[in-house]
Amino acid sequence: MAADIRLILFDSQDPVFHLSTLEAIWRQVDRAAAPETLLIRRLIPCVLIGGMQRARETVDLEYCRRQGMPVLRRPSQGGAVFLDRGCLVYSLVLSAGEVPEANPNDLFDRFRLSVVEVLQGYGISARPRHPNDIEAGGRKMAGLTLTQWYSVYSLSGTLLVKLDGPTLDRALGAKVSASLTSVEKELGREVDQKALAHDLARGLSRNFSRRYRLGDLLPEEKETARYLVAAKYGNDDWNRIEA
Amino acid sequence: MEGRKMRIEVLVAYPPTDKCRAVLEMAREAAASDPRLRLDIYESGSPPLIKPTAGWLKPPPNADHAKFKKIPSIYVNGCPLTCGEVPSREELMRLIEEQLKQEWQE
Repeated sequence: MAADIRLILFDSQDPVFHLSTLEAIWRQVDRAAAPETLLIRRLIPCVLIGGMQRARETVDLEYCRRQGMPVLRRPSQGGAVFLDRGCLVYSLVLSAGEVPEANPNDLFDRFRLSVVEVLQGYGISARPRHPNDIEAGGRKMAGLTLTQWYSVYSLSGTLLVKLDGPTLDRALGAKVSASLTSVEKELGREVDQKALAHDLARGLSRNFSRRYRLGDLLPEEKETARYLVAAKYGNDDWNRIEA
Repeated sequence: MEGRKMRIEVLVAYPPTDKCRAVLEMAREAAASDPRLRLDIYESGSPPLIKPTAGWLKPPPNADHAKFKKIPSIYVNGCPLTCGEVPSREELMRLIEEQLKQEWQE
């Protein structure tokens, strides 16, 4: 039986460290120097633009600057996203050797189904929306992405738990929030995000037939993350926000 | 068709890993082996400085999801040669040879 998946929870994480941590895990799992990992975290308010985007075309940079809100480039493609403590960000980093049947589409569908089932367990009529989302009542609640990094599959998603629509719209310079919904909006009550994070872990564990246990970053991963902060995600040459 | 070059497109991580460096070394060697070849290197998550081929912009083989990219990826003439794996030098050269034998697109 495959080894347990390490569960790491972070709260109020700086987005530079958030991006660096995930890539540090990819790099170490690829070298078989770290265990497969489920990373669930909340971030301080920030905007992450897609790898192929120009920030000034998709973000109100002046507003973000006034608010002290970091704007960074993430490695994956897609549109700009506003993240804050009302959003759970979760990444499942798997070694391809542990999922030998791995068809990327199957992995992605299993990942998305896990989240859908958790939401349905809360009484939300969540369902997959092609190609990369989860919706409820016709509005997007979660977005997902898949990266293959050499021998590593990284499945990531964001789940809106509490939506700060006005700030999101100002940061992205567009009325985006009208097309979104959140867990709390659908339920009409507050939700314990830590409990929801553990429910996500249980749902993923069930669908991937893997147990999980709480853990922390290894010293080598922290060192790699610090390197990536300096060389990449905290570096203007990488982010090119003003370009 | 003077002036036309068959493009080798390589997607690697930034900063490159040891595996990336191995892929780049092989790709550079392949590109230098034939004057009909041109090498374009893309760094994951960074906008390409030149226009990729139409084939490169499509989702990789066996993937329905538009946000899915495999690192590394090597495309020749817009066709995926290898995605997510480091090919052997012999395999890469053989695949490029096969592509060179075929008509290529702009």
